[in-house]
Amino acid sequence: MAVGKARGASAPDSPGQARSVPAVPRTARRHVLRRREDSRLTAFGFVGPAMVLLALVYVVPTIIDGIYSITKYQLGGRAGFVGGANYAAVVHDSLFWQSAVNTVLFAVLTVGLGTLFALGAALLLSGTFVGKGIYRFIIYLPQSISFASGAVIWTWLYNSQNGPIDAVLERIGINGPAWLTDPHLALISIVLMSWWRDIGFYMVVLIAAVEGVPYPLIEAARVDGASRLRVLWNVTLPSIRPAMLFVVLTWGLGALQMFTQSYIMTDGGPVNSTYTIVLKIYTDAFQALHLGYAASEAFILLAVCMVIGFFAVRWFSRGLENP
Amino acid sequence: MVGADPARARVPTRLQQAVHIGNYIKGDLTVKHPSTARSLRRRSRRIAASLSVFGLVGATFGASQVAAASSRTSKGQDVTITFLNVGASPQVLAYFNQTVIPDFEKIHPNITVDMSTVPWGESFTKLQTSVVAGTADDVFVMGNIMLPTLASKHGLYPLTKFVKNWSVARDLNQPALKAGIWDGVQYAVPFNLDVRGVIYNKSMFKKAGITSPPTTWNEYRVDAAKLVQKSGGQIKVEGADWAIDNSVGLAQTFNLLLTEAGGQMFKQGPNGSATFTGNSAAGKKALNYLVSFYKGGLSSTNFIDVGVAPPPISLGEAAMEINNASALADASPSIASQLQMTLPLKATSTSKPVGMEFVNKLGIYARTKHPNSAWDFVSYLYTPTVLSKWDQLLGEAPTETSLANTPAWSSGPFHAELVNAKYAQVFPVELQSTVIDEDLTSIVDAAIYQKETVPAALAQMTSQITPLLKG
Repeated sequence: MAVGKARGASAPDSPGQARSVPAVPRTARRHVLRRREDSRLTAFGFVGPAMVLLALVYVVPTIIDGIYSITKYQLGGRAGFVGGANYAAVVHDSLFWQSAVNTVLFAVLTVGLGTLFALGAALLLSGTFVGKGIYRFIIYLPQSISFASGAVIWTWLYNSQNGPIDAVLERIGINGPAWLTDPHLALISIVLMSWWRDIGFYMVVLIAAVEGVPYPLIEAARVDGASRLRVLWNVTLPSIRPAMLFVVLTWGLGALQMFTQSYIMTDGGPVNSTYTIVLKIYTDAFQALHLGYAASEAFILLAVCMVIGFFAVRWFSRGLENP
Repeated sequence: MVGADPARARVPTRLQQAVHIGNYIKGDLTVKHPSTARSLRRRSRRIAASLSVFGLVGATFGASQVAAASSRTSKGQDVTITFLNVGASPQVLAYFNQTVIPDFEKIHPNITVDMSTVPWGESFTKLQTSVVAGTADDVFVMGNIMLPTLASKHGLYPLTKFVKNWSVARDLNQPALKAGIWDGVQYAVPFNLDVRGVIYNKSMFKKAGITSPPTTWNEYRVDAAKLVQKSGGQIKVEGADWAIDNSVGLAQTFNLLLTEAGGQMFKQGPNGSATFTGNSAAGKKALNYLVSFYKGGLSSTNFIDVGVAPPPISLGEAAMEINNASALADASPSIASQLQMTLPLKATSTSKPVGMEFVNKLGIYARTKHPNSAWDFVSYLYTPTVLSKWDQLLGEAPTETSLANTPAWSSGPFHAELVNAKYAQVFPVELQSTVIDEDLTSIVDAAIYQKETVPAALAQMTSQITPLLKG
C-alpha cells in the first residue's frame, strides 16, 4: 500500500505534487521503467520463438484435441458438436477398458521391476573394477536401436516356429512357449523386450546419481558401523531420490504411451491381450477415422498422465528441501 | 553516475564489451554507459527481430520453393509421378525397378516414376490418411475393400473418361471392372483377382497315405487330422492353416466359410443401405467349423502370417491352406514344387464348390497434378507381358481375359487361379468395410482362442457391425 501511495504521489496527473518533485529523478524513473520494459521485451525476443514453437507443437494440438473430443468428426468429413457423448461412449467401450488394464499392467511391470533392475545394475557398475566400461556399454547398447527395429528383431527372436529362443530351448529338451501368440504371455514378452531396450539408459542416469553421492556421507555412516545395506538404504537411496523421480516419471509416462511394440509385434493381439490405449487411439483415429472419439480417448490419457505426474513429483519431492 | 566516465564509454575493450553483453543478458544494466547499453539493446532487439524475420522468411522461402516446384511440373516438363505398390514382394519390386519403370520411362522420357511400397496390413491406414491429408501418391494399388472408403472421401480421380476410350477395357474381366465403380463412377481398374482355393503339400499327402485332395469340408478336416504333426504336445506342422495374420485374414476366412455354407455377410437394402446377416445358421456352421480345427488340435494359433514373410504353407509349416497361388510364388523352389492348388471346398458333398475373389485395383489420386501422366503409367501396366509377369509374381489371376490362353496361364502352377475364378464370388464390400473387417477379425480371433463361444461371438458381430453399417 505504501508503495502504491508513493507512486500515486509522484504521478504526473497530480500537478501540485508534481511541482514538488524534482525533474531529474522523474526522468530517471521513466528511464528505469523503460529499461525494465525493454528488458522484458528483449527477454521475450529471446524466448519468444521457442515459446511460439512449443505452443504450436504442444498447446495448440492439445486445444484442438479438446475441441475434437466434443465433436463427432470422421477424418475427411465435417465435425458436429456432440458434447460429452464421446466420453460417455468411451466409458462403455470394453476394448478401451481392456486396453487401459493392459497399459497399466505394462507400465507397472516395466517401470516397477525395470527401475529395480536399472538400480541394481547401476549399483553393481558404479564401483571400480576391471571391464566396468564394457559391461556398461553392453547394457546401454540396445538404446542405440530404435523401438521399431528392436520390435522387428524381437518378433523374429520370439517366433515359436523358427525363432532362435525356442530353438535353443528345444535343444535342451524344453518346449519353448508361444511368446507372442499366447494371450497370457504376450504382454510379458513385450515387457521383456522393453526392459532390454530401456534399462541401459536409466542405468546410466542412476550410475551418475550413485556416483554423485558425497563420499564423506558414506564414510561417516561406515565409521558409525552401518552395514552396506544400511548405507544403501539410509544414505544412497535418499541421495539419489531426484534421479529416481526422473527415472520413474519419464519411464512411467513413456510406458503409459506404449505403442510401437504392440503395433509391430502383435498388433494388439492375441485376443486383444496387448492392446494399449495409444494403439486404441491410433486405430480409432487412423483406421476407423473416428477422430472425435479418438480425441476423447487421448484427452483421458492426457488427464491420467497429468495426475500421475503430479502425484509422482509430490511423492518423490517429499523432504527434498530439508533432507 | 557511472556514465560520467566518457573515456570508458568511448574506448571499450573487447573484454569490456563481452562483460557488458554478459551483464546485459543477465538483466544487469546498472554498470554500463547508457550509450553502450542503448546500442546493446538495439543489437538485442535486432537479434530478436531477426529471429522472427528469419522464421518468417524461412517459411515464405519454403512455400515459394514448393510453389516453384509445382509451377515447374504443371508446365508438363519433367513430371514425376509417385506410385504406391501396396503389398509388393521383393521380386515384384525388383521387376518394377529393373524392367517396368525403366521401360515406361523410355517410352515417356518426360515422366519419372517414383515407387514405394507398404505391406497390405498397413495400406488401409496409409491410403486413408494420406488421401485426407492431401499427400497420397499419384497412382496406388488398392485392396478389395478400399474403394468405397476412398471414393466417399473424394480421394479417387474419376477414370470414366479414360476407360471409355481404352481398348484394353473390353478385354478385362467385366465383373472385376464393375467392382471399380462406386456411385456410378469408374474410380479404379482391376489388375488381378486374388482367388482362393485349397493349396496342399503333395509330399505330405503321400506320406500320410492320402491319395486325392479334399473336396468337402468334412474331407478337409479328416485329412487335416491325418496330416498334423506334433512333437511334445505341440503342433510342428499344422494339418490345415487358416491364415491368422496381423491384418484382416481371419475376417476373410470367416467370410469365405460363411459363403461356402450358403450364407452372406450383408443383405443390401434400398439406397445403398445394408444389414449384417452373418449371425445366421450358416454363420454358426462356418464359425463352428473353423473353431473345431483349433479345438481339435489340427491347427494352431502359434502360426501367424506376419505379412513380411511367406505364409505357413510356403514354409512347410502347414500341409493345407486355403489361399491364392501366392503361396506357390512365395515358397522356396523345393517347397513350391510340392505345392498344388486345387478347387475351393464344398460345404457338403452335394453342394457346389464356392470360392471367393478379392479384386485388386489401381487408382489415381483425386488431387494429382498429373492425371494424364498417371493414366499413361496405369495403362502401360496393362501391356500383356507386364501384367502377366506382375500377376505371376503375385500368384494372382490376371484380369485380361486374353492372357488365359498364353502358356503362362493356360497350364502350369498358376492355371488353377483362373480355373477357380469360375467358382468365385466377389468378396462383399461396404462403405465401412475397413473397420468392419478389423472388428470381425478381433471377434473371430476370440472364438478360435476359445475366449468366446460361437453364439457369443456371432452376437458380438451383430452388436458391433450393425451400427457401422448405419454409418
